[in-house]
Order: sequence, then C-alpha cells, then structure tokens
Amino acid sequence: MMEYFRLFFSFFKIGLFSFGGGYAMLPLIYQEIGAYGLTMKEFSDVVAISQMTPGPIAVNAATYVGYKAAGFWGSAFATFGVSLPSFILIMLISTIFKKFQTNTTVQAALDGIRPATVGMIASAIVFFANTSLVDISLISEGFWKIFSLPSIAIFAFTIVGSKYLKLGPILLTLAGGILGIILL
Amino acid sequence: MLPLIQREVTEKQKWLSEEEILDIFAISQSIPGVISINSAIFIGRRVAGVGGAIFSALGIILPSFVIILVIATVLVSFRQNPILDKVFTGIRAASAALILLAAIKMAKKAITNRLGIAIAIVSFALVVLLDIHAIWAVILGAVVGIGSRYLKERKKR
Repeated sequence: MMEYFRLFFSFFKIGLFSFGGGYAMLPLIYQEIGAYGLTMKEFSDVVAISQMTPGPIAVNAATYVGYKAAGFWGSAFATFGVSLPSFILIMLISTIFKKFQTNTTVQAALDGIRPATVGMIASAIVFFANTSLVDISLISEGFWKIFSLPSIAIFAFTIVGSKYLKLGPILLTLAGGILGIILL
Repeated sequence: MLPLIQREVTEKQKWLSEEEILDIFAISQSIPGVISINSAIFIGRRVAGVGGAIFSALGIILPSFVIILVIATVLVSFRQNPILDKVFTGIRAASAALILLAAIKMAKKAITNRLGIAIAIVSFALVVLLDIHAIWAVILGAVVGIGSRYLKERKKR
C-alpha cells in the first residue's frame, strides 16, 4: 500500500510542476523514477515507446513505471497521480479563466518558466546521448572509446531525415531501431 | 493530438465553437500537466460539469494506459533479448536527435531576450551539472519572470 502512495505522490509532483508538456516533462520524470529502481536505459525505452504510440509521454511513463514498481495498481495510482493536479487546477480556474489568462503576474511567471523548460528539454538530450552516442563509463579505456559511431550515425540520420526529408517521428523512431540492428 | 480534439469537439459533436476551443488550448498549454489531458478536462467541464470533466479525462487517459500496460507486460519478459537491445539502443540515438529538434523549435518560440537565454542556461546547468530537482528550475523561472516584470514596471514610473 505504501508503494502505491509513493508512486501517486511522485507522479502528482510531476503533474504539478511540468509546464510545456511532452519532452519538457522528461527531466522531472527521470529524476523521480530512480527511486523505483528504473535505470536510464529502461526510462529511454519508455520514451521510445511513447514516440511510436499515440498517447502523452507522461501518461505512458506513469503507466510503465507504476507497472514495473508495483504491478497493475501501481500503474493506476501513478497515472491518477499525474492527472490529478490538472483536474484540481482546472476546477479552480475554469470559471475565472479569462481573468487568469490576462493576469499580469501569471503571465510574467509564465514568461520566465518558458525558457526554463527549454533548458530542461536540453538536459534531456544530455541524458539520452549519454546512454547511446557516448558512454562516459568507458573513459578509463581511452577518450575515443566513449563515442559510439553507429549511434552517432543514427543520430545524424534522424536529424537529416526530420529536417530535410520531412519524415515523421514514428517513422524515424522505427528507422532508428532498424539501423540499430544493422549497425550495432 | 490537438487537431484531433478540435475536429471532434467543434465539427463532429458541435459542443463548442472554434474560438472557445482555441481559448481552451491556449490555457491548457499555460498551466502545468499534460496538454491533451488539460484540454479534455476543460472541455468536459464546459460541456457537462464536473462529471463531464471526470469522464473526458478518463477517456483520454485510458487508451494510452491500456496500450502501455500491454507493452509493459510483454517487454518485461523480452527486454533482455540481444536483438531487441540493439533496436532500443538505435532508438535512443534517434530519440536524442528528435528531442534536440524539439528543443530548438521550442527555444525559438520561448526565448525572446537575453534574460530568457540566461534562464535556459541556468536551468540546464541546475539539472545536468548540479543534479538539482527540475522543480527548482521551474520555480526559479517563475520568480525571475515576476521579478523582471516588477522591475520594468518600477522603471516606467
């Protein structure tokens, strides 16, 4: 029972403090999941799955982490936790939402939070790169050992595929997986 | 996801007007939480009160919940497979690229002045270098935002 409430509380925090949705939620999520014995690799699996399935990353992460930590009810409590802050907040502001939108203090706070979420998304790149493009733990074997050329090739392919070939994220994620089998 | 919601709510069900739904999307993006869930709760509340909000929240969460639950049960038993491991390592590299592109896109919209650049760099450093909880980056951003507005107002007087 304790584990359920712990999951609920962790994801409640994530739901309450994540602005900007999607990738901006990643740092908050991976800082919390360490407590449940999930590795960075496992977490990146969840993000990978999220890129290929329709739902929001936060719900997918809550469901997956909850399941791994405490089975079905773990999933349920974590998912409930991540959505409850939205529910409470909207019930509070839905009648005054015009006022909320034009309130200068609220807007000033959001003007400051938006760049902060950019920094948070950027930090997510570092964590992802560190389990694929580079592996700092190999530094003792020599500087060049930390780089993974196949992964860097996949990284470059994805950038080109998205920017110049205009391929969608689902296709690029799948391509990354297939290239992984071939190159790695 | 938002275009899908828009079509369903304004065209198919005719619950709300185009203008109302755009207002709801705008505010859903400015409060914390998952944007599509926020929008669903707002729409539900508008159309059918608190009960409507509960049911629309359930409706938008349930498909992801079920899909991931199925994948999780399968993945737990197959994750150690060496080929699957290569697949996921490849995907991680692709993910890093996709997130980088998302960050650049977002930076163009969110960072409009030098203060914004500073906030972004500081919150990046807090999370990556100092391993401080990302909640503090959000709080810092809010405080700096309010503070700079206050200073500007005072200068005007």
